[in-house]
Amino acid sequence: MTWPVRFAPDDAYPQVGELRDAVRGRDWAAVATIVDRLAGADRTGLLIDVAATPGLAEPLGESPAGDPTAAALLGFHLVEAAWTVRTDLAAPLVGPRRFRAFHQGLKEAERVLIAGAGRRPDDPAIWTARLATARGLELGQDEAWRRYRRLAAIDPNHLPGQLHMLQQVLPKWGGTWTRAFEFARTAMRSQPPGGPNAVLIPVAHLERWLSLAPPHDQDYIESPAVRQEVAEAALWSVGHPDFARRHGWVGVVSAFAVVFSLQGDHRSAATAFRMLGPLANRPIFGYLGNQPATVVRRYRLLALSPGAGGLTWTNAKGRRAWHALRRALPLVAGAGR
Amino acid sequence: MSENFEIDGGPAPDSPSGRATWVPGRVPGLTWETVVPATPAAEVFAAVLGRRMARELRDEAEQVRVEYEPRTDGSARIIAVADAAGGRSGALLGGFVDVLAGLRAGRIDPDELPADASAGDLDEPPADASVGVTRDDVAAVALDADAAGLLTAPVGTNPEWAGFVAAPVPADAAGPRGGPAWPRGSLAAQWIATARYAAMPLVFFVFLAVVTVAGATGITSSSDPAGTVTLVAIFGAAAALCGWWLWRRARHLVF
Repeated sequence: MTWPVRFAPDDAYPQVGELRDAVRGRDWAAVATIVDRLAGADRTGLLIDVAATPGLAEPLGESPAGDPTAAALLGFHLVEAAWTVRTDLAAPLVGPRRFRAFHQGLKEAERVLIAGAGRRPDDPAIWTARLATARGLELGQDEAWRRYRRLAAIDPNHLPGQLHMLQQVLPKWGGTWTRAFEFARTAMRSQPPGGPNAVLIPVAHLERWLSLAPPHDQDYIESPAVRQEVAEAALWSVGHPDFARRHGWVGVVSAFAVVFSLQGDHRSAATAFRMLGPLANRPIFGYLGNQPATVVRRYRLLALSPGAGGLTWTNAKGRRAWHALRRALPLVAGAGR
Repeated sequence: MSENFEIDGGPAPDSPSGRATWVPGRVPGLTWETVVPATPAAEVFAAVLGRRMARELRDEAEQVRVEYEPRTDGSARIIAVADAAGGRSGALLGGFVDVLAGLRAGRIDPDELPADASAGDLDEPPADASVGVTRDDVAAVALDADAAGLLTAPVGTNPEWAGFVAAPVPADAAGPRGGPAWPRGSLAAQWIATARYAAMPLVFFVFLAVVTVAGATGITSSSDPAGTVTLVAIFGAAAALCGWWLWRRARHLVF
């Protein structure tokens, strides 16, 4: 079971590489053609994946002014670059110089996005990027909600924006657990079954799990209420016959694989891992450790081994050591980023 | 005004002007003032701004008011006021930034411009001078107005994320630049407090120097040159450290 682990979005979505090459070649007509093949959340997801490539600021800066796709790409790219400077560490562990550079980068992104939204206020990708800047710049809950309302007026089930908004309503960004779960549940129910938005449920539970100290974290994620809610969310999305492998599906299935694995429900996890094959989403598996490839291999092995039902990982000592390390360096791998 | 502005090209409207300034406010609402040449386009801009704010800030603002005041020197003052609804100051600020951005980008519907009531009647010039103002004219005014604008931000907000720079503080009101609103109290009381705080490192430094000299004198009289050197070194280092540390804490109040 030593299959490769493929985190690169290119492996799941061929248009990512296509679009990246077009941007690097400054072929704006080709960029428009590739992006216009997709719409809504698929388009936003594609732009996010391409914008994560380092070194795109220079070609994107040469794009024709007023191009909403280029504005969104540059905005996402600057946000990503700023977050790379900040690192995923918890706020108290980020030094003041890093924070200043982080805020400076986000302000630069925000200026691009303000101009982009001024020209094209109906572009959901721009509002999604502006949810990321609002959070990083700590513009407050009311401004984030205003941006989310603008986004929801264009597309009420825009998953990339909802993942950002979920982060915003978590306690670590000034929200509460009640509001976070309310947001995730509302987003799940407000779309027909088979859609991907139910992924907000396992992500919210993962965040809650991450915030708790052992042994409460394990008690929480294994509790009957959480098990039932995650199972329902899976039936509503990845387990539904209408579930389509659209842009971003790898992240959705990965989130369920992670939560089922944590719950020791290796049979359900196996279904998710079979869907994924060698693919996986790095930030989602990053919840379980800072070596996501190892995490994928471990849980995939546990889920897909013959007789997996009886095989559980009970190395309590190792788990304690890992939790001690996690408390020291609280990695908050943002699923929404 | 509009010849060097292109809606779909040119770098001009890409970023809000660096010259737009702001000062911290004391109330949850915002005030935005600007001065532009008094032209029909400026008047139309003020009217569009008012309608746009009323429409786009309906969730964030309780009351919106925009006024256009021509002045004797050929310029006009535009003032926009909005009160935050339900304490949503951050959202009010964000919404206002977006209203301005939309106008700067020239996103103005034809029906937002004054209708030509006298169309077809060529003998008579239009009674309203604002008839014939185009979208580009209004966008150009928006750019000028934004660059010259002074925003009094809602209390507790800092609009520097949107490209506003802190307005220069008058020299007689030295205080933390771009910081929070002034604390309550008379200006004189604030000045005394500030001056006292700024002088603190100096006072400490003088105090320590006096102690050092006094100590050294006392030891010199007891004719112990090695002890004198040690004591002077220790007191000197302590004084320097203290002074340096206090200076670091207080220098932003001086410069």
